[in-house]
Amino acid sequence: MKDRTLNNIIDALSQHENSSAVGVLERVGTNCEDDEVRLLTARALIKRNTAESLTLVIAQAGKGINDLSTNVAMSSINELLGMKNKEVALKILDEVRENHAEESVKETARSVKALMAFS
Amino acid sequence: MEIKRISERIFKTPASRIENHENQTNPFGVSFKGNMITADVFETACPKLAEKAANRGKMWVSAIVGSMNDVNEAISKRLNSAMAFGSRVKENALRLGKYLNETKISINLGGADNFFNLKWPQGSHSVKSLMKMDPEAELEDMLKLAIATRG
Repeated sequence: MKDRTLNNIIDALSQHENSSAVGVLERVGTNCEDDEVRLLTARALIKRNTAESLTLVIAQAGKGINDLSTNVAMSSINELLGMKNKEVALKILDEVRENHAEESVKETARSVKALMAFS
Repeated sequence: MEIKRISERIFKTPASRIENHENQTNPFGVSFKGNMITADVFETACPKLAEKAANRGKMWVSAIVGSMNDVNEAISKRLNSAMAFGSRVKENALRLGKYLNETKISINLGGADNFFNLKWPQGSHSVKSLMKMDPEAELEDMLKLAIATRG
């Protein structure tokens, strides 16, 4: 199975009109053992640029910018920094920085918010 | 006066009865009925019986020693065969380990790839065509299979 098909499927879910596509990406993509698949999924969720999809990659421990793989986490942060419309992302980062229960997730959100302010 | 007469008078023993044995082994001068007793003259009353007893004893001892030797031999044989078996098992295990290390195993996933293409033909793999499919009904299964079969 070529990776191009995998990329196309994830891209299709990222752009799909049906909001249930986010659930599919979360269930299958963000919980995958393969780092590459989690990386592609996090990017797809950030590209989708909705409150639901951005909450997954910013506020969830072990996913997106909080992924245990440094490669996946840095790739997610790069994708956030490269966004054209950052309002929704900044709002969610503020909420996480102030209200989240886990200190490490708060700290990561604080750092990313600071980076986005300079980008 | 002769010494013999002197001893006769002292011990009141007739000299004629005193028999001097050369090489006698009776330093204390023990006598029986006037005869000096020596260790050399002791004889068994039943020589044949004594001989039989001695022979029987020898037979018992030789039987015991023989059986001990047999037991030792049997134990040694069993130990040797157990050791040989253990060595064979060890050799087989080492050979198997070497074979597994040297053998490359490859799994052909061509079957799964063909199944994917049969169910979702090549033309339907573009982003545009995939976006027309239902996410939960179709795209979820496609995504799972694509992840499982990626090379």
